[in-house]
Amino acid sequence: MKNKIIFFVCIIPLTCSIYINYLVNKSFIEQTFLIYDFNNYQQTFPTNHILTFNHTFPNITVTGLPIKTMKARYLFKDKMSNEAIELIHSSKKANPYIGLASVELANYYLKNNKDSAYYYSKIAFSVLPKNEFHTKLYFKSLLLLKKEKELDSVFKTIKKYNNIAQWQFYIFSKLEMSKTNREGLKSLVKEAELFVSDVKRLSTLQALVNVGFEGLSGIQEIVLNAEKLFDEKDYVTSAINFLRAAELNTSRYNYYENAALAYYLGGYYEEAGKLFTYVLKNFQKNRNGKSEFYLGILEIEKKNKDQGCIYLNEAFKKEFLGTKQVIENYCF
Amino acid sequence: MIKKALNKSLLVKVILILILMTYAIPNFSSVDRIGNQYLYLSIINTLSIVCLYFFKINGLPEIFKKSLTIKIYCLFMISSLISIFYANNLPEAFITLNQYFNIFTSLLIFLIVIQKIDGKIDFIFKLFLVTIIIELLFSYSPILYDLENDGIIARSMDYKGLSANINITSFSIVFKVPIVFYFLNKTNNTLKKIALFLLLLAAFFLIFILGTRGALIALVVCLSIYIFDLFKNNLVLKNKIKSVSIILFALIVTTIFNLIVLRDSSSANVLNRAATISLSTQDGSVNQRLRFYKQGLTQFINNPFVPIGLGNWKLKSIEYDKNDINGYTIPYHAHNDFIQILAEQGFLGMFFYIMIYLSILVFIIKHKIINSYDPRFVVLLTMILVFLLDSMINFPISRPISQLQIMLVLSAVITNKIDNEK
Repeated sequence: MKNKIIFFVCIIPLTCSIYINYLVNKSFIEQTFLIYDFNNYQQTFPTNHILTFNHTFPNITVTGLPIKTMKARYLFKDKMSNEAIELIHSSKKANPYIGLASVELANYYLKNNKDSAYYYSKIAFSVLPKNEFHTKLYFKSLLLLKKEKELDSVFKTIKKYNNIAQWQFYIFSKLEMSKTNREGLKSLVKEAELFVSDVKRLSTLQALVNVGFEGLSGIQEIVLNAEKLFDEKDYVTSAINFLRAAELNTSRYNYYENAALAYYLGGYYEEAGKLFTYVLKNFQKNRNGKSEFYLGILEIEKKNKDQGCIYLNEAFKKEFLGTKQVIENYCF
Repeated sequence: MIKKALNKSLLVKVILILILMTYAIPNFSSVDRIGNQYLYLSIINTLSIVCLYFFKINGLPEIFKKSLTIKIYCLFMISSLISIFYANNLPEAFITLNQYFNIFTSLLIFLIVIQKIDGKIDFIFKLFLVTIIIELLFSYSPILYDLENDGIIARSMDYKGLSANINITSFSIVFKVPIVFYFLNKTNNTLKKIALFLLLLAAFFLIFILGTRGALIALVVCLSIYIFDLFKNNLVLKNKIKSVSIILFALIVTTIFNLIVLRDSSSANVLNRAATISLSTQDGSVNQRLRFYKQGLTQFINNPFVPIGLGNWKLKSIEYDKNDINGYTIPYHAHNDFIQILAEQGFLGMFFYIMIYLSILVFIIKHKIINSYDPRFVVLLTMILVFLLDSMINFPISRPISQLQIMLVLSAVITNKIDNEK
């Protein structure tokens, strides 16, 4: 009798333990998709599939990112902003120290509510001041609100990190805010030479502080603008700008590829497909497999699995990052 | 019918092996293999308890009654449970508690099944010997491939074998090296001696190629204890010199081979890796660990009575380390299990955790080395010290394979203690 009691006392928590481990393990499998897309700054997996993922137990990924916020990124992509915002607000407690919820909110509000963008980007920046993306968002919102004094004082606090990307964002923001007084920025670029190992990386910055945005050549300006629009998630306008750059310099395949990617992220799959195919046909050398990868994804989304897997295998041969994972998930 | 077919002694061995097989569970499509490993472990634990019940193999009340270590372990589990009330992120706290619970259950199962095995310590040693051979085979497969093709790459992640990274592999190998020393010293069979010598060569060479500095320190600890024990307790001078010579010869051969294969990347060879062992804050890895320790201790000093709760250091550490975090790569662990437990559970939690090992160490040193000498306990003592060193610079508490190995060692000592008291 005593043994029976001990046995049943043991079995109950053991069964619960199996269930907990099952939930965790299932979530770990789901997290491979979320983390893969997050690390590649994209949302390639279908939203309806992502929305089925468990986000309550565990509520953060193994890397510490709130799962609800990561799911909300897909809702934003599908223009379901209200649902996304609701999901993000409910995820804030999961890990308030990483600021990802504030990042996503700031990113969303940049387009339509400058003050909210400033509020959330400031929170995101304060929790991870060394994070390049948080800095970029905060500086962007400061630029929108023309808060030059705050920009200067914030840069003073992060200058010590000697992070060239942060310095770059500051210089870009300053150049856009005030077209005069570039002398201070020139000396800042000189200062950066002390800690940047490859001084060539500073050439664009040097050129910019010398001539300012207004002095840039046509094609440089178009590309910079396209990149800026891409960052702001204005994908279609970004694609058009990349295509304008491609018309001016037809030898650069990456202008076409970037335009295709922007179309893809903007939801214009047909245009994206045409451009990726154009790159495939006209530029056979020295590519990294990006076009093959996205064509593969597009074909799979069109339920054309065989053709999709052929493209993905081509991307895999060119060692395009993350292809293996997609092949494992869709081609077996 | 089944009961008759299955001999109890065989059943307990099968249970033991099935639990240790957690090590070999691959990550399938999981983002972290510990997900699969804990799921497998919890299923095996449950099945084992069911089997032990139906085959009427018991011993749990006696274990709880007679083992001080188990009583302390229970207190540690209670402290872990209480700390959940302080946790900001409850799911993380429950997940970590569940992991501790799985490991504790495995320890109890080990204790029950080992009691039924004749020659328990020798059986455990043989089991570890098989494990080290399997681990080496998995690591050597890519090493031999690289040797045939582009050459060996020092500290390549491809050589991690069955574990999640090369640091875990290194410590796992060093953890079992004292057993190879023991058998090498014990056996008189020439063939077995040659096989063990080759095994030692393979183990040393892998440790050197992986270049984990903590594991190199642990290896020095193993060698020092082995040589000290040999000279203190082995009466025949000829035997002492012979045993030490074999090991030194293995060390010299593997060092030379390491220097040859890594001649193109001399900074990664074993001598240069060993030369960088210091407490200097100029060293990135040392500096990072010292920073994490300071953060953990600061958390405790600032809030001695309000711990952050089980599994929540992963979150709280971000706040402390925010000026050093690039991107989203967070510290995850304090890289010292004792400090992490101190921050997560407070002083009592850490005290109980230390006492688990201290009670075992005191028993071994007092009763099995000083009062009555048993060379097998010197091996067990060395293994525990290697684990504790690992706990002080890494995070074995979060890895089921490291935990299961040390639980097996603890169970060997605890069952021996219980047997002595009978």
